[in-house]
Order: sequence, then structure tokens, then C-alpha cells
Amino acid sequence: MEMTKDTNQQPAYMQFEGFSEEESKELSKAGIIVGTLEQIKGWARSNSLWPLTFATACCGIEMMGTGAANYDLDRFGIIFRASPRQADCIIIAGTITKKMAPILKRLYDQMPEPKWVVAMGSCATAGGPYVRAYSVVKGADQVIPVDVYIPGCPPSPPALIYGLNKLQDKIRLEAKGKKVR
Amino acid sequence: MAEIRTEELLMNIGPQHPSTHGVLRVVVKVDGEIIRDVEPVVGYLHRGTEKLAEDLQYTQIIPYTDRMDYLASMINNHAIVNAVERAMDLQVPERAEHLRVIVVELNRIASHLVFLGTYLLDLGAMSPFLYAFANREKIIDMFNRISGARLTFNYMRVGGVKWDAPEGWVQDVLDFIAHLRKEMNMFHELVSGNEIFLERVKGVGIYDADTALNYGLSGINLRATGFNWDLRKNKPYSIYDRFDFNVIVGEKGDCYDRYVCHMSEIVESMKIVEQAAQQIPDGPVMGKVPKILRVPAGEYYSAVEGARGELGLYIVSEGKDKPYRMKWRRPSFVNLQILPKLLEGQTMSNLIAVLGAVDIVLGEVDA
Amino acid sequence: MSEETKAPEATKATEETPEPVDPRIEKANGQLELVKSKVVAKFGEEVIEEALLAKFQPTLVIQNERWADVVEFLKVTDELGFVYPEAMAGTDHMAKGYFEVYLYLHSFVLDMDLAVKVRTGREEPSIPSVTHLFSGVNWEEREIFDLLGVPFTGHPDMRRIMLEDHWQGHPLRKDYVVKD
Repeated sequence: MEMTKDTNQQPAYMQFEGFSEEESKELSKAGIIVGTLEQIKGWARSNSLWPLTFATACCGIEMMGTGAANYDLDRFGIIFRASPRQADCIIIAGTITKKMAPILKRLYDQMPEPKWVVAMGSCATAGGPYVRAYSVVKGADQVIPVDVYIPGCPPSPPALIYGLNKLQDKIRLEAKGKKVR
Repeated sequence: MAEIRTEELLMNIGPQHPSTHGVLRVVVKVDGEIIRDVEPVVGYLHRGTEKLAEDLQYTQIIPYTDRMDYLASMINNHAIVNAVERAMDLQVPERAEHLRVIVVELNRIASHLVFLGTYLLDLGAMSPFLYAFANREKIIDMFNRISGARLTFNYMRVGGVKWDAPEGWVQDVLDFIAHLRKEMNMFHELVSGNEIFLERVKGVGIYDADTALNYGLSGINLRATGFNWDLRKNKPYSIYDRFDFNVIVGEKGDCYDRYVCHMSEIVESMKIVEQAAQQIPDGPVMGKVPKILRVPAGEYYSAVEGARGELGLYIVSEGKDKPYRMKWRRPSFVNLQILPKLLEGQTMSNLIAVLGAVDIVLGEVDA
Repeated sequence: MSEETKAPEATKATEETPEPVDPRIEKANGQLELVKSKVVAKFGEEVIEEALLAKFQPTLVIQNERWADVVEFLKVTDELGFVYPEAMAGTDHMAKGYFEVYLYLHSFVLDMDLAVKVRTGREEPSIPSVTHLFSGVNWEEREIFDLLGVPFTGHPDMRRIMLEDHWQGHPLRKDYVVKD
């Protein structure tokens, strides 16, 4: 399933696997999507990512800023949820301390499958500037598996959006059966 | 009629909760709707900054201060450079002082805007958050132009500031202030007269000035009780004695007063920014400072007026390039202690209203 | 703060007669003498271990056993009126063999700041709590206990505040080894 832009400025159509161009156009026109169930699920999931608000530190402010009017995450179908039971993905925005780590693990366990993890900022990636501190976990991946790492201290909203787009790509590619690392 | 059986219930709020402004955990003992006991549990963001600072040179500590009160990083920068300059008797060029005042007061405005947005969001009003952040974003853009960062600026240095203002920046600041004046009117229209909002905040979380002093409160939390105490006036530092502005005090010390103080303080900060931007002289932005900063042996305490209260810095030096001990007097940490007192006997619905009005930043509470 | 590092500065101001004395030091000296005389009149000479100026900051080092009494006296005496606790900090002076706790008070009556300090040995440290006087130092004392390992006797809730309860050691001690 790939979006193709017609050269004659006609509405875009989808190129479906195993169909000719004509057939694909015909199907698109009729509003029919053809694909494996997994792929369609991946497409739906990637466009309605509901992340859990897990703002521990400075990155949380940038995350809020990304959700606010100027950058507007809602246009990607990304809507923040306050409960792990309603979330697909967790954006770890900030430093994880040793006191916080068990809670992060528990929140992750409370999320329903399928679930993804985004480590936002250098603290969540590898401890960041606090890597030598006695109370800080050196990266969230020591506690839970992480899918996307976003560098920056803190990452700017465009960087966060790019990272989330990468996660969407990953979800769609995995649905195709490809292994993404 | 049979007696209704009641029992006390232990409720846990946080550390992952959207209204605790970070990773605060509050353990509440409730009897029906009435709060009997509150215990704030902090430390979920304790990063050991003070220990790290003992192993860093003074200039290297500045980026760590950005990450404490991350809503008002410029003020944190100011606190440390001011403390070191005072200890070493260093002179700061005029232009740098003016730039500092401009960015500090702009940051105070930005921080108060975040307070307004998130406080009203906690109380259930969605749109003020969007308006507040849209305006804050304009300030952040200006900081981005002058310092190269959006949140953790690392802008000030001992003896001055790192970068001079780019061309046209000062004029843009003045234009923004004019714009914000109009926006503030809109804010008042949106929120200040809203009956639902007033019901939630008026007469809630009251304390008097003596209690506030006993708890060591500072900043708006102290001034809301009517007690006139602002370090910019009472212990003048930098060049604040040259500007004409008022210290905003409340009347009753309830949540509404704290809201009004935040709103009015934005206006006062705008006045300071305007005056500083109009008076700013040309010249260098870095004074003469030694390559390696060595604070003379001894101990020093100095404080600046942060966005949340008195932001103090206690330095013990042995005359080396690194501090022997560095302790931050963090206003949020001290202010949060009063929470159990304010909430006892209140209804559960007031918890968020009171907690939000105390205006804490967890990066600062836990350090 | 150490005697050998700080003492020269305090004496410099008073002994060097040819140079005009800095008015700030003169003022601070006056404030220090005022507070010191009041405390001595009430408790006697031995209660003040040291009285000095740290730059322009009047500082008193109080005897450990009388710490809470002296702080109470500073607070409740009308003509002193140190009612506002601004900051509290603990320091590990390992080489000198003691912990030092620093309390920074403000008086609106005298319009001055006063730093009072108390010391305790590194073996079996203990300092009387002043939480009953200032509610605002409750968490500060807990933080000092947590990070420095100085218990405050008489504190209503002497538990760790920043780190987990099962944490081993006290990080702000100079001999603490940071483990991974």
C-alpha cells in the first residue's frame, strides 16, 4: 500500500500489491482499501497514537508545547491520555530516577498491547547530563524496551514530531512483517 | 434508621498524574469527600544536582541550573552568576545587565503564562492553555534567537552574558510587549470574571502572613497574603533599583489572590522589560573575568527573586575552581510544605485547585 | 567555613586602620555585635562558639546542646524578631571532622539577615530540631538527614525524603562513593 500522486494532478490513489495500476485506481475511486488485516491495523494504529503523558522533567514542557496550539500534535491523531489503560504508546519525557523506575515499569505493564515506547531527550536515552548522578537511571531502556530515541536536551517540538513520525513508520513497516530496529 | 457506616480511605495521587505538574505523589486520607490528612511524597525527580556541582567548575554548573526550574531557566542562570559575581566582586557591563533584566523578566512572564494555562487546565478550562502557550511560544522564539535554545538556555555567564542580542531583537521585544498587553485583556475577559472559575478558587486555601512566614514561603505565595516582600525591592540586586515597578500583594491569601498576583505580576514584568529595552546602552556584554573562576574561600548566601519565590544559593568555597558545597534554596520545595495544612478539612475537589495555585515545579522541588 | 580561611578577612576590616573601613563591613559588624550581646546576655559566653563576618554576613556558630534554645530566643525576642527562615543547608567538613548545619534567618524588625550555624561530630551526629519553631524547616531538616545523615532530635517525621527508604549511605558526605 503506497500513496502515489498521479502526474495529471488527479486525486491520489493507492497502489495495492498484486493489482495493476488501473485496478488500483478503480479500487481507490470506489473507496476500497485492499491489504492484509495486519497492514490495515498498522495503518489505523499509526494514525491514532494515543501517548500516555509521562512528563517527568524539562522535556515534559516541550511535550506540552508540542501538544499546544503552535505545533498541534492532534493533526497526527496523537492525543495525550492521562491513564495507561487508554494509551498505546508512552513518551518518556525526562529523567528517570531510581525511585521512579519501578513506577515506569508498572505503568508500562498496565498498558494494553500493542504498545510502543518513545524515549524523549538525552536523559531518557542515556542519562543525559545526569549520567554521573547517584540517583539517576542511565537510560529508560534499562527499565523497559524503547522503540524510538529522540536526541536533544530537550528535543525541540519538530524533533519530537519527527520522532513520532518515525514511530508511525515503524508501526506500518512492522505490520508488513519487516523487522525494524 | 440504621447508622451509615463510614470509613477512612487512603487515596494515592501520582506520581504519574496530569495535575501534579510532574512527578509529585500525594497520599490523601479521605473521609467521604473530606480530606483528613495529606502527605506529599517528593523525590521522584531527585537527580543529585548538588552532588554533581561539587565536581564541576562554576561555568559548568550553569547548564544544570537550567534544568532545575525549567520553566524559568533564565532566572536560575541569574541566581548562580549573581552569587558568584557577588562573592568575587566582579563588575558586569551595563549592556549585559540590561539584557539580563530583559530575559529574566520575559522568562518570568513565560513562567506565569504556563502557570495560568496549566492551572486553568487543571480546573477544567481547556482553551486558556492554548492561548497561554501560543503567547509563551513567542517568548521562547525570542529566547531561541538570543541564546540558541528553546528551554535550557545556558545564556548567562559569570561577568556578563554569552551572546549579544541579534539585530532588531530589542525592538521585537518591545513589539511583543505591546502585543501581550492586548492579549492580557483577552485573558481577563476569558477567565477573570468567569463564575465557575471564581467559585472554584475564591475562599479556597486561605492562610495568613504569619503562617506564610513561619513556613518560609516566598514569592507570590507570600505576597498573596498581603505581605510586601519582593527581593527585587527589599534586597536589590542587579540593576532592579533603577526601574519603576510595583510589588503586587494580595488581600486574603486564597487561591484567587494567587491567580490575580500572577496576572498582575505579568503586567509589572512587562513594565520592567519595556524600561530596560528602552534604556539599553551599547557596549560589551562580557566583563573582565579571570579565565578560571576561583571563588575566594568562605561561604556565601545570595538570593534572587525567582518566578516562584526566593531562589537562593549557598556556596561554601575553599578557594578552588570548584565549589566545596553548593546548596540551592529552592522556592518550590519550601512552598510545597504548606500543602497538608491548606488541605486539611477541605473537600477532595479542592485538592487540585489548591495544589495548582501553590505553583510548583518538580525539577526544583527535587533538584 | 573554616577559622583559618575566614578569620583573616574579619580581622582585616577592624585592624587595618589607615584604609577607610568599608561601610558595609562596619554596618555588619554593628549588627553582629548587637545580636551577639543579646544572646550572650541571655545564655552566657560559652553558647557562642564563634562569631564572625562571612564577607558582609553576620554569622554565629552556636553550641550544639543549646541550638534550639538560642534559635527560639532569636525568634521570640521582640527586639530581635528573626521570624523568617530563609534557607537551611548542611555541609560535610570531612577534613575538620564535623558536619555543619547552616540556618539563614531574616528579621523584619532589624531589617537584617543572620546566619546561625551548629556543628556536630561525624561520629554519631545529632542536632536538636527547630521544626517546632519554624514549620518551614521541616523538609529542609529531612533533606539534610537524607543526604547528609544528620538526624535531628525532636523532629516529628525523621524519614528520608528524596531517596528510597532502603537507600544505603548519604550522598552528600564527602566519603560517599557514587556507584553505578
